[in-house]
Amino acid sequence: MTDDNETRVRHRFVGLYVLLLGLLGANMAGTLIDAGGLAIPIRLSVAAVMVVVIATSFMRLRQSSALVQVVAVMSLLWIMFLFVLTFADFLTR
Amino acid sequence: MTRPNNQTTVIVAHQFETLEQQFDADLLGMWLFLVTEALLFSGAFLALAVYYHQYYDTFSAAARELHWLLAGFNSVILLTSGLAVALAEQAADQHRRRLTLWWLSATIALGVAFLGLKGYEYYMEYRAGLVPFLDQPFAFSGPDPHNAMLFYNFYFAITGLHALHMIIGLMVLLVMLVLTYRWREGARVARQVRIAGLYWAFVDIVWVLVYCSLYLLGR
Repeated sequence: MTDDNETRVRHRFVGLYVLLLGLLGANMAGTLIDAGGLAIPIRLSVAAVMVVVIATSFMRLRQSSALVQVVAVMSLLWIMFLFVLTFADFLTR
Repeated sequence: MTRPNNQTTVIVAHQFETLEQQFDADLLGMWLFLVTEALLFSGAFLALAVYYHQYYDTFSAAARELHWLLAGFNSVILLTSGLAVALAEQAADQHRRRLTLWWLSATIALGVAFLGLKGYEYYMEYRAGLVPFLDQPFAFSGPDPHNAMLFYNFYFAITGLHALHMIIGLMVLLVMLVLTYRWREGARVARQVRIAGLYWAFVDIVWVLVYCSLYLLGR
């Protein structure tokens, strides 16, 4: 890895870290605003973006092999099944 | 079988053709393990979501008693440790031993600070009478204390499980620190630090979800 490339990668990590802090701050500041019924979806969405940033960048999912990416996506799919099927039952009782 | 490396000779396990293949298998194994961990936490979050839906007002009132600003500061500490471990991985990739040691030490120090603050938070909750076990009278002043107790059971179970993962992560990082200090094979150390970093980043992800679901959703 060349020095330029090293610096670029380091700056990218720091930039993503600042982005994560910004998202955390936005989520905390959001509690001071009355967003009504949108509050929960907004807070969950911001947290989901933070999770995606950490998984794709700090866990280097984007640079990982296709097999690892498939495993990561499948885990999301299973978790989605867990939530969707449980709530499909729970909310329609 | 041995493969030349830019600094040292690397031993590849006999079942692999190349070091890259071995590294891919190691990474895949760690990701599969993290999937099982994600499913473990998902079960807890699912149960919390169901009960949140059932007792939204009580759970929200109970969540407002938590120290969300302190936990927010703790989130900053943990995200910073996530950056530190990513930089340790990069330093190990470049075979920079001292820099790797520095970033690993910073990650461990931040992790210990997180656990210390979390312990202090637990202590404040204990003093406030919000621990629904330890034979302490439950002193929640809001409505429906019975179901508020359920919220605090979720809170201590989920944050406790996360703290347990943090402790395991810290032990793994301490082992990485020793391996980096010895620095027998640069490529192997880089691989091990990368895999330990995956675990630590996962702990970060879980905390982001814990903070959002327990501290922020009810506010």
